[in-house]
Amino acid sequence: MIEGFLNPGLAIGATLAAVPLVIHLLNRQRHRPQRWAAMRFVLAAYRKTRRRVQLENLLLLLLRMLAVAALAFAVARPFASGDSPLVGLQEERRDLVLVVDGSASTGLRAEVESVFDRIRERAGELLEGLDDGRGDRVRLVLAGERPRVFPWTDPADARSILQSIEQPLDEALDLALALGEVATIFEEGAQRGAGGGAEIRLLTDLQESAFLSIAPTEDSDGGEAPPALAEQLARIDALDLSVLVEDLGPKELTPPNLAVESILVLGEGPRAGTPFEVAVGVSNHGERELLAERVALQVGGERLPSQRVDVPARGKAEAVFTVTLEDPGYHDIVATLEGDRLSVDDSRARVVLAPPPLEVLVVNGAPADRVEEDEAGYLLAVLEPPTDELGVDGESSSPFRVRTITPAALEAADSPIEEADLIVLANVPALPSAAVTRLEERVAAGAGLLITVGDRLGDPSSWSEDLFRADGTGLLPGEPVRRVSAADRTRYYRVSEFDEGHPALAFFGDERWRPLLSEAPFYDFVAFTPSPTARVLASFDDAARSPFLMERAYGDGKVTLWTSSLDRAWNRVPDSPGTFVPLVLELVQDLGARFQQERNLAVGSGLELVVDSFPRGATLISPSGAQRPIEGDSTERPDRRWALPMLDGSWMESVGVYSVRTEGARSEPLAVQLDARESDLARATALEVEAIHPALRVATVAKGDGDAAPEAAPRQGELWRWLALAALVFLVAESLWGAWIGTRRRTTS
Amino acid sequence: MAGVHASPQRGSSVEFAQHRAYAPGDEVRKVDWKVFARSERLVVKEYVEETNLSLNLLVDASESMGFGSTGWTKFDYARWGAAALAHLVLGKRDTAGLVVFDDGIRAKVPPGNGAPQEAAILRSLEEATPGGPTAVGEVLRTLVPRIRRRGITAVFSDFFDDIDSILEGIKRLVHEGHEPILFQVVDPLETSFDLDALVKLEGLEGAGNLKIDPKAIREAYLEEIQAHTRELAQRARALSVDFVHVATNEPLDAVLAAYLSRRLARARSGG
Repeated sequence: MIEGFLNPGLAIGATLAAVPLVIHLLNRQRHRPQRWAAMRFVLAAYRKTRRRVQLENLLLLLLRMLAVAALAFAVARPFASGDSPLVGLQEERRDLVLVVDGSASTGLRAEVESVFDRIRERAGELLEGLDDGRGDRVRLVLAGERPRVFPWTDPADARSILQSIEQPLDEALDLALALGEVATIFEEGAQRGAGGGAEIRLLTDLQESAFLSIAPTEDSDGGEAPPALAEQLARIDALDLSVLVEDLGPKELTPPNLAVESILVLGEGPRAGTPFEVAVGVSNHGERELLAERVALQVGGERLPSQRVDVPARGKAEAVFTVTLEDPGYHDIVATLEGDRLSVDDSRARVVLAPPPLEVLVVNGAPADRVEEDEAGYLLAVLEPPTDELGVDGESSSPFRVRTITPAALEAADSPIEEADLIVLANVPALPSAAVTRLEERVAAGAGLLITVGDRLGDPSSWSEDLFRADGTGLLPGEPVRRVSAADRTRYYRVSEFDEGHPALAFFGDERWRPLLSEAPFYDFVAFTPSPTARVLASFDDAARSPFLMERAYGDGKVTLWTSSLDRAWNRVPDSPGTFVPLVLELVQDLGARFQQERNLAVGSGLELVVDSFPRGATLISPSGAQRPIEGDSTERPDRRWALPMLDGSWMESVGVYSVRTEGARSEPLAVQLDARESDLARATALEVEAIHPALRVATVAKGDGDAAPEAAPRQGELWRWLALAALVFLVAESLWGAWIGTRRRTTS
Repeated sequence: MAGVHASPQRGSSVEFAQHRAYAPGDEVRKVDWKVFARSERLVVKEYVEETNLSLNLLVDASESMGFGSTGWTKFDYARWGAAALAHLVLGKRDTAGLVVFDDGIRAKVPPGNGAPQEAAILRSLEEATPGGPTAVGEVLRTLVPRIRRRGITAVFSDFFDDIDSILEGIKRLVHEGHEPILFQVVDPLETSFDLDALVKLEGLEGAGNLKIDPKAIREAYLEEIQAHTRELAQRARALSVDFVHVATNEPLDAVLAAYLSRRLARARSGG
């Protein structure tokens, strides 16, 4: 009969139907005593009327109880469905969940209007078929990377919401997530006792990548349903619901589309003043080769000469541009194609970082006039080549800015420790505690420290008194033991093993270059016992496998220990440029690596932007030019940079270049990028989609069609109106019956 | 009306009483020739024999007579009525007697006259209190043989008893040559049954209790009590017995005066 209640808790109110009975029973206790002489006549009258009076009172009581019960049940909103004999009485109300595909691919222009326009129009047609007065309800779900779920509304409100969504999202479609939300809606409704019978419609362009996970193999065309999608469809199926998919996409199964797929920096990466190459990847998702397609590139708003590329059908091409960035810092690069039917992927932005020169502070423990005799001579030769290529404006294009000081200058209050990204202690004797403390603070704040040893150390244990602590709070990654020397120059030690995975040593992992490191002679070194927190990067071939290179993290920085000399005094490494140059350069780059923040985001991603100086009056500017103040407090990081309050993902839902403007500082660019998969407009067929799960049914709708499904849309089987009517009838009947009885009993002869 | 009371004894007298159809053996001189001349019907005149009146007062003192909603119980009303009649009769130097009864004789004042007789009757009425079950008919049957002198027997009761039993007793009285007058004394609440709230009726004379909604049975109750009164009145009148229905909220003097006037008028008209 009744399958359940939408408000089951209120059904308990039906117990109030007992109230009239209770009142009736209580009234029986409230008879006033009255002495009476003419009892024979009372008894005769009672016998004559007893049955009639009982029936009258019983009927009155029954009507009251039925009225209360009917009203309570009506409020509890029972529903029936299926085989129930009450099906004929159930509400004709419709509940419609309308999932609107708002992914970027629906921006494809098919003739005059876009696919999204057709989807909106079709949604409007479906809403027109609903009846506000009947209590029909709509729940809109705008599907994209994440679904936007609107609450249950009447058709009029749903039309307003639909009208406010003028453009599709710049997102791919996560159909599993959207249908998961739909399943949750109905599962929660089922828990509250709501009946089934609602309708789910998905209005989409049937893009293949949304429905099928393409895992091409030699033998198959790919096209299996992603596991998550099948799971959500199973949830929907378990609720006796199905999803009617309306294909509103273009006629072609593979609509042509040319898209900027990628922007890549070739080579080592940009440096200010040095040209570097940028490759713009272009994809042709159509079945026809495209010739001489123009690709344009803008760097920081400045247009470079465009190029033309031929892009094969269902293939890719690259246009390579040479770019020079004048200043260090983050720069936006935007690649653009001539427009086609889908405009959102005709341009793509990327933010690249041209890092400023690394500030290197070399503390030279044994300076000399001649490079060969200077402790840091070879190092400086690598970091600051004498015949430097001049960059723009005659300044050096070296990625390093090197300062050299003596150990004594390190102790001075004005020594430039705080400005250094990397500090090299080259054969420096024992340092005073104050200098060590400043070094510790700087390294902990994110700087790198390279320590090399030599003959100036003296007694290793005295030398390391402040640099090494057994509790691990010292800078050294190990405790010095003793100096190890080869007996003579005819014997030497070599690097027997090293960590090829370390960025500083990866170069030597190539078999061609390995001997450059492994064959370099070492005559002297200081043996260290590594600390538990140290990482040994390379070891000698002595019996103890003493470390050659060790590193440890220290706060936000890092310390690397080179256990031999940096000059030719203790080893022949500087004699081999092929060894010394890459080793030193990679070590310096690794140690001096600065914080770099990924400024290329997916649509809807949030970001806690880090800037170099305190951000005053920060404002986010979107690609459209809209401005939004960034409210909240910025926080200072240990590396003395500043983190702005989180930029919410909902503020960056359009692709393009955003910038964060602060007072007194240059704008910081951000790039929001479209998921490249969205550019492939290949559509799944109805058969492929229906093969995913029985809960999916596909209908093709022509413009102006009514309901796509031939069968009547399922109705919500509520009975509350009938029950309310019954309650009203009972109340009226009770009133009339009571009045009639009262009148009859009052009018006597 | 001093000293003269009509006797129910029919005989030769100066006062015409009524016409009667001529029966063989009647004296020719009694034939009313005027009537014959008018209607060619032979009728004889009968005359009222003047004699002294004897009044027997029977007052029901059963428990049901103790009911009252107006400030007077039915018994109060009955005994006052009896007292009034006794006073009237004894004042004209006729005789009066009293019997107070319920289902048996509770008190008795043998017929007599004069002031002491009135005092005795009044004292007896004053001392009586209602109580006990009702058996009007039974009492009448018992009393009739014991009433030596024919006269008027005024019965004051609510007559809430079996009608057949009551009428049997009345018939006995009539058969023995008495003239019964039935005064049915009722309370206005008993005749209206105007009870609003739910009541638990506690029956007098052991009639039991009953919880009712008065409005639910009022119509049927009134039918019953009115039918009872109606039948009693009809059957009494069929025996040529006066039946006076009176409620305790009606002025006693007016009731008695009206009845006596009607009775006198009837007597004068020969009806």
